[in-house]
Amino acid sequence: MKTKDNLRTFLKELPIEAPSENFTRLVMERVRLEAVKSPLVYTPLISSKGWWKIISGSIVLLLVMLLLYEFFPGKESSGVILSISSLDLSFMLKPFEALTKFLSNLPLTYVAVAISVCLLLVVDQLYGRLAKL
Amino acid sequence: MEAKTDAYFIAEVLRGNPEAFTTIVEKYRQLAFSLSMKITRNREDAEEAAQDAFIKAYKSLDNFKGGAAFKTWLFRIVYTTAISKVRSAKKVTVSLEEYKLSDNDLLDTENAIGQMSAEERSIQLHKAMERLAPDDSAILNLYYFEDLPIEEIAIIMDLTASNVKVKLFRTRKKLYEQLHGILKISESLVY
Repeated sequence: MKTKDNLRTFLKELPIEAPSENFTRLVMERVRLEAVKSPLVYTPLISSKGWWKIISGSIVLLLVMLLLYEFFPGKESSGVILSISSLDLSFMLKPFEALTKFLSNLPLTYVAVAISVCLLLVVDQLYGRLAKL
Repeated sequence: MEAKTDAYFIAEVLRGNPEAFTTIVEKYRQLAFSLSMKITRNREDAEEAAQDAFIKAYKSLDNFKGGAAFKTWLFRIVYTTAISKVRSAKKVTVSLEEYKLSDNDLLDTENAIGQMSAEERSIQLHKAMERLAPDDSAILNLYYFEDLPIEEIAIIMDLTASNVKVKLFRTRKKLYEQLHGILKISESLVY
């Protein structure tokens, strides 16, 4: 049955009803009132506190990596590390033996990449805040 | 100049620039009003409902997830706002007259309509659509005027796709039944 095809043609002939000339103006007047009453603020996926936690965690991870640097196979310890390890921090590492074993096999490039990414994100956040000023 | 998408203007509004909403209103005002008019059947009510819908959309912009197209999301708000307005006002009258048509009667009605001038046909179709229930007019508007796919209409009207198909089928038949009734009355007035 072709009625639905003809019906489309017939209905398309109906005149288009247009809103009044000041429709947009009236809507925007109400929008401006709403904006003053309760301004819309974009909430980011990760809050500022969240970012600081991520960055702090990355810094702690880096410090742990540096402390463990001594345990990397074939690595000669630098003077700085020796003086740090002379404080005998092995009691701190005991609970994390499995983790330290894993971390000790991790190349430094991984850490470098993680720090770079964190720095980029920090710059992005700072840039966003500066742009709003 | 590259045309900016709805997502750009939505992001601008969410960044604290409400004036960016003007572009969205300008882009969709015609569609919103048209749908609202089909439901409310009254110009003033249609304008009010369409304006209310835009304000609701503005207030809920941060809830727009971007899953469905913005147009579909906006249409849903316009549809529910207009339907609520009609239900609260209880103004719309729907024809209770039923004209049970056979397939032949349906084709005869279609032929009769097809033979009319475009102007006369528009008048008769308008009369017939006025006699339909608001959601029946709405579904015809969305499918035939806005050329929306069944899946989008389902989202707008909060129905399943199969329900939309069934409703479309029934509404088409109701429209032709009303047309048949109108034409019969016109004939009886002539003779």
